[in-house]
Amino acid sequence: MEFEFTLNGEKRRVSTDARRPSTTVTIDGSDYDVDWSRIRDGVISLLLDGRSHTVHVARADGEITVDVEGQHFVVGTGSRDDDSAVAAGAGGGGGGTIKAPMPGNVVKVMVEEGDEVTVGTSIVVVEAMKMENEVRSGVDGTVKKVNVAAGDSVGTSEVMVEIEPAE
Amino acid sequence: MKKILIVNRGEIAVRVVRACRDMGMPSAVVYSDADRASLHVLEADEAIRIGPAPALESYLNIDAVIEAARKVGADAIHPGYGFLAENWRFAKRCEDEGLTFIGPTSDALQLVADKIRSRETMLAQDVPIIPGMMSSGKDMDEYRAKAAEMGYPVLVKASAGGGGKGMHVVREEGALEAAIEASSRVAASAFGDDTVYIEKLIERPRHVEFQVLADTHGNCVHLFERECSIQRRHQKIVEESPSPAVDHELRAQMGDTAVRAAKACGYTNAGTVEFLLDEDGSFYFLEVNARIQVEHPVTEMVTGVDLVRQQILIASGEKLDFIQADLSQTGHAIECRIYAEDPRSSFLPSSGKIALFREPQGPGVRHDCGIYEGWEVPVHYDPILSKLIVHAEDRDAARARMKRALKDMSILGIATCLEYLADIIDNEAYAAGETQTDFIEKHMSDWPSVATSEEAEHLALIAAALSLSGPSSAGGVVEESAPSPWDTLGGWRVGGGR
Repeated sequence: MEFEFTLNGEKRRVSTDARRPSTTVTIDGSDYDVDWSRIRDGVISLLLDGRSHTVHVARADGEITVDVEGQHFVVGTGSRDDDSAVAAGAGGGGGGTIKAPMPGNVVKVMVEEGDEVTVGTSIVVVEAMKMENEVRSGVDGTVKKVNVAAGDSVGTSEVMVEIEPAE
Repeated sequence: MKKILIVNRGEIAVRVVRACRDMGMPSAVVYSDADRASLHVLEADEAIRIGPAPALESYLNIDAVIEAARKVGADAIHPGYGFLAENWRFAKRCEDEGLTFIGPTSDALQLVADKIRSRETMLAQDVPIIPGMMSSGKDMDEYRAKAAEMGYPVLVKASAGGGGKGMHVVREEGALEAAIEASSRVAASAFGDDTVYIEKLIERPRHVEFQVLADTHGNCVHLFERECSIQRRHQKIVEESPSPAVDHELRAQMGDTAVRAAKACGYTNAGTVEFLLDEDGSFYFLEVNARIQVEHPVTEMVTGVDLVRQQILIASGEKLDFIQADLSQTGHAIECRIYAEDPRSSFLPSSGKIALFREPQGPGVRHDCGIYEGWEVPVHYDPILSKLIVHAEDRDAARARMKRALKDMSILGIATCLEYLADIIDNEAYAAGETQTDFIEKHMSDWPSVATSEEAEHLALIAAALSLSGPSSAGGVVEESAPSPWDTLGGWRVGGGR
């Protein structure tokens, strides 16, 4: 997966295949061999060359705050690989395609075809494992198509709503 | 004493709940509508709603407090710090209602709240006070004459003031009139008393205070000093004991003076006598803080005395079961106050949900905490979240321990001053014990001055990428707990909910 982040006002390109516990993360062309483990929500253990770093991560609209041993970094999350399951909902990208963030049930569809939406408008609430996720629009535009209704179950990356971006 | 009503919130309410529980003393807390889910309610034996969110209608509402005490069957009230803690009218009301106010008498409170009256009292007992006026001036000419007599720079102060409100430094006669008018205006609106007076300004002083305990049988001891010179906008943020500027001889002298000062006010219970310590070693009485103080844990760490327990024992009419000679200072303790304030945005208070919270641990680490992960920090009250206190053999070891503990602590979701505090502790001037009250202005004004390391940046980028990656069974991730990249935060709604 490829990411374009912003850190301290600079664009940084980061890519990783995070499917394995030992992965290579590439930052602006430099490779890092990372052994990683998600300890719990918001806590990631990293081993780089045997050096242990436990980092804490929190997400908000369009940014991720990372606490690296007491130092805070705010990483801006720009547009990402379209195949990324999270592309639609992080508030920063994904164009007009609203995809299911995870397998789950649609709790509520907040828009109808023809509705005008803006960045941040709540589109669909998806629930999984007793946790509700509000998926918001990443663009200004008009709702072109609604593919789901309350009560539907959806799979990862399933397109739930399509939005025609405004000019 | 049968039951104590704790009239406060946050970390100090939790602290008092625990002291009561340790003593087998039943207690109850009060809470406003904004605090139903606050930690002090969760930790309490009993909790009673006291009113709506605004403090004036809840934690400062004397009638509601008295009613709450009746309802829960409390016969004593612990006011904590802030709110009603130093309100002599509240103490008087408790006395009239037959409730034990855990603190000094209303008479002593009234005396120490009046700066001019307490200066007179101290002078009569040979407690050194800052050269200055003993009453407000009758006109500008008198202020001018007094200022000229003591020599500029001078400090214009409100008699009823506190927390730096209404205080003005005047360096030349031309600026005096405007300062007096401004101070008197602020004092009238903030304290309902426009009395102002002038003191000689002590340049680059340290703020050194002595903890005292006085029982109702005439016994009074001091529990040594705390240095609280590191202040931002007149609010202490880092405190320690012992002071790097106080030696054995000065300590004995200041301690004796503190006990004399407390006795002169007819003071009982736990209190603090504040002094300004000049560079030449001379010290001056500043004021008496008639409450348990935010920074009391540093004293507890070095003396081994539980001050809140002592407060309760004294209020129950017990005699102190130690004398001055029984007390000693062991090792070194430092406290950092953790505020929900954003040091990157002019220290604006920050409210919202605590998305992630990790407490530091280990030997010599104490965390007096009023928060938990998932809690929404309300906008209505003081932004203090918790206090981190460390204790070690000496100052260097305590500094190292504090630095480590601050790095081990993590609060995400709201802004805090954790990084700023770590940089204070790491500062060379702090390490050298150069902790005058101008420390922040002198050493921290260009914060953040140190650029972040490339290594840390890369770790942040790696973590950001990995947190967005998956879902995956990689890296020992258990599917149940982390089924999707959306769940990087407990309880957070992705893309919203802030």
